[in-house]
Amino acid sequence: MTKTINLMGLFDDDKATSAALDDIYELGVRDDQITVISSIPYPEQALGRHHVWVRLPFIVLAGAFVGFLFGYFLSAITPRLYPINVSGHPLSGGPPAAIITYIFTMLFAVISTFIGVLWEIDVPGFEKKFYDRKVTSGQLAVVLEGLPADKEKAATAAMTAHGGQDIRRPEKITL
Amino acid sequence: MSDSVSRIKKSDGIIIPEDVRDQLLLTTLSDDELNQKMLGPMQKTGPMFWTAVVVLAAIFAWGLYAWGYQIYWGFGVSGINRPVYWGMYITTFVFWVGISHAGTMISAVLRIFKADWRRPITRGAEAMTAFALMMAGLFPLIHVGRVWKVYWMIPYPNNRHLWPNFQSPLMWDMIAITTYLVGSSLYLYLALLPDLGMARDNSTGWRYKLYRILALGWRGTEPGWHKLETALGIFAIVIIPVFLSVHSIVSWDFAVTSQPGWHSTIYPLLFIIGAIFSGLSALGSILVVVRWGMKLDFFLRKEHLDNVGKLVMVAGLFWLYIWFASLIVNWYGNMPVIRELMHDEFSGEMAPFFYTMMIANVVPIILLMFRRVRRSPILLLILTLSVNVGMYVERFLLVSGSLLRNYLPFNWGQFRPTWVSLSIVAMTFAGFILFYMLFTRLIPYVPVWEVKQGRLRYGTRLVGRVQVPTITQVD
Repeated sequence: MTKTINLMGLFDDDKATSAALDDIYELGVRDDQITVISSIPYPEQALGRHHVWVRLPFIVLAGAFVGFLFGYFLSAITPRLYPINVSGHPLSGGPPAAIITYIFTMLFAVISTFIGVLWEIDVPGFEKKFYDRKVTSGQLAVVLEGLPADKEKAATAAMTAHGGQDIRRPEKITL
Repeated sequence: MSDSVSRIKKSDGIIIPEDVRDQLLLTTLSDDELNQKMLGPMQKTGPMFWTAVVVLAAIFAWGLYAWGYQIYWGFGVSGINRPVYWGMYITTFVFWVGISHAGTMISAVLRIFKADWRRPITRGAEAMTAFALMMAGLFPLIHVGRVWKVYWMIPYPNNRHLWPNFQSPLMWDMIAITTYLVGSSLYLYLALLPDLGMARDNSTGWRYKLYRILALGWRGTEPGWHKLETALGIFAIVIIPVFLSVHSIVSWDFAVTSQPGWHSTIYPLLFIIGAIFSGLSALGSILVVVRWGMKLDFFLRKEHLDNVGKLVMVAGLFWLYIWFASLIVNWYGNMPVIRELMHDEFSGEMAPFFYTMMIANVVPIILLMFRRVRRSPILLLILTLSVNVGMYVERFLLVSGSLLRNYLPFNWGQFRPTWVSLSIVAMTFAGFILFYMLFTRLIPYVPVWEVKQGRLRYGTRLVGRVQVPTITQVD
């Protein structure tokens, strides 16, 4: 079995990072082995990475639908289970039910957005991870995980050629 | 020659207008320097800060005592009595809900329209929303009187068959405000994650421990950023209809009754526009004070004050229009009880309040048309505070003023707030300022990552001899 290693390098800007990543891809390193860490968001694929599939909109829609059902249940169904007779008024009215249903739809959409994105970006996660605090100073970190050991030299050379600094086998650190 | 071009700097024949030189997003500071510009002021708390904390905490504690007094002796001590059942508490409740609206306006609406000047002020606006809603949320608890029975409003099966009446606007209120508070707080927190990570990486001691927990292990991986931005985009879209509905629902508390002065279809619009007007004004005041108190002139520049001033002015004009539209219909309707209410406002016992409202709201609208006024921190502070006085009085006239008259003249009456209700109202003002002050020292007030991201979008190019800013579509 091939021995694998982890490798990390720091870059000063996005152009150098994307150029280094192009060379690293040519070594046969897969997308899921590469992690790019930065202090700001870059446009999708700006660093030469593949499209990121985001399930969030579906999670939000599902949450909103559950909220809709819950709101409708509360405002239109439960008044029949616990009837309150107020001077001959109907037990539930359309417009008030619409308001309650609408609010719960939005509430569940909001909550599912929040929970959905945390789940998608895998936080909270307090375990040790590959990271370098220089990222918050504006540098970009490229982490290669599970890299075959025989490709270490070539990967290091690819990073160095594009201005990579502090290239090393990283330790996971506590965030 | 325009004002901005008259103050230019010539360098090698290139003309750099002052507006361009002063733009935050064109700064050449390094990321580290930007981090320190934000984190440094958070750790400086002088005697003035702590004096303010002690005074505000004392007012807050006094308000809590007054609330306890009211709970012990009964609701009568608040001064609320027939026919004014909704006095200072509901007035202040409406005021705080209104203040909360600017956060969404600034953050969500401007995010959708990609207005880059919003970047350094969004967090301050979002925090204002969250704290204002917390204060607003106290009033239903205070106003129910028997606060220990408030859980009866929660729908849960029980053997007494007590079930909330979902046809009641007060029930809509509770759910809508809870939704807005949850949504605003989560929106605030989500956009905070990268800056909490930045603060964690640049802190030691208890601050490190705090930021480590709050940052939830944020690293800033490429998919992480992409998903976070998607989530913020969704939040921005979802929160706007919520913010519109919240104040509509608050207005329906009044409008669905048959009380003269309240029963009007224009009420939701009047409430929403008034809320935006007062909320933006409160934001203007807060930005000036925080800028001065934390010496954040680098991030909160005159361009931002200028833009907030413009928004206040535009919202004010809309408010004036809607207010007049409401007035003219009532005027021509000429219903006896409405006529009496209008007489009270124009030349009766409520006239001092009415003219205070008009002067405090209209004079700032006029003065804010001038660029020099908008760019003067002290003038902006005075004018935006004036608007908030005006809008508080407007809420008082709408809520309590309208209740003085009704369809049965024998039931007309007076309203005098007591020390209890005034203390409780003061408690929420002190609480808001206190929590906001502590927030500014604990949480990065300026979204530094958004400013850094904005720099990626911003650049300059020469048009003839003049250097002009350009925006690159990178998101």
